[in-house]
Amino acid sequence: MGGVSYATSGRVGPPPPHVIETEVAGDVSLYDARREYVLVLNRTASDIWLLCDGDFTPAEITDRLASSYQTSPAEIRNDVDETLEEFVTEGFLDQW
Amino acid sequence: MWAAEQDFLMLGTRFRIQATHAEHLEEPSRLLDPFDYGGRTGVRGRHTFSIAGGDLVGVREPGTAAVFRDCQRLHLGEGPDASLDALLATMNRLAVEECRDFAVHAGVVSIGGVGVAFPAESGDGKTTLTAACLLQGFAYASDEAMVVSADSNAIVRYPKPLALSQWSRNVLGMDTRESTEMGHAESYVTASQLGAELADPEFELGHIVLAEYGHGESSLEQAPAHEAMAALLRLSFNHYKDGERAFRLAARLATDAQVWRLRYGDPIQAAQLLRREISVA
Repeated sequence: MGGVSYATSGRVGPPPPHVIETEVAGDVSLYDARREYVLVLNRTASDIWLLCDGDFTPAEITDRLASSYQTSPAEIRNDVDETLEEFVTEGFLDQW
Repeated sequence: MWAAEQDFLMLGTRFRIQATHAEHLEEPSRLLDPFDYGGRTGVRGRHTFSIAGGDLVGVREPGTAAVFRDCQRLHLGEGPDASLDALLATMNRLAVEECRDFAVHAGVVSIGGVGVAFPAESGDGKTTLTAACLLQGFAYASDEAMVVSADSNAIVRYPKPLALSQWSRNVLGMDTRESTEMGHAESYVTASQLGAELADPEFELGHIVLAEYGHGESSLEQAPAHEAMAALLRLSFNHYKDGERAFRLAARLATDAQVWRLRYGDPIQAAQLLRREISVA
């Protein structure tokens, strides 16, 4: 289980201005201009990232992805949490 | 004092090689022919390399030659060939280091004017695979660097001589007499010695091949573009000079090119597979 707490009702994102994103054949890659650090995302992480625009809480992101993947939120909650935690740890998102 | 001298232009950096004995310049001149900058043009090199007979630098052993870079001694060894490795390796390092364009550690060939790049670390077999491709009719761009023009975003050829190990020469079925022996494991060959043409000075990149040596039968399959992007950035020589530009450029290259994963054990068989599949892709 990741360190992201659903007790907070904060919305995730949007990313800070030093983060630049680009799509490579449908997958997202992120560039941290302050640290000159790149994170290349796979398809699932890309889908999560695209929902980190400040409109959704972690729970809502999980629900939307579960609907999109035609699975239950419980099935993917850990993966979403861990991915969001990595975005924060790597400096691509501020903690909400 | 100098019996011969010649200017070269490599990735925008000028070099002058001067020699106290004209025969000492013959082999560098042949191997670096694609970079010839017009012979005795009077243009001052940004870096000057001097090859001096040992007798002129206080070494009594006959046949000894010394190589100096901008007056600092790089190498002292028997005969001009022993000095050639130090000369070429240093020129290559400087050319890539000072290159203002985005450059990635990769072998690069072309076919039908379309570029094929093999990004890889040193020692991963990219030179052998590149040489195998030349033997299968691809044109030569580089066994060292994929250079992307800052002006046109096209690939710029960098056809340095290929440095082949004894193992590579055996795998490629080459007669060792066809290459310039360096007195150790590697030797240099030019594209023309492998029967290949040079690629166009600039061309579009069509394919990025993520090659994995150590398999049996060769196989080629499509690979995710993000893997190519990661490889281009990880293997870049100079992404740190303009990180954001390198990021955007790597993304564009990986998006626009077809990305392949090549698993192989025999470089010649792999080159034949590439020739067959990429030509129709």
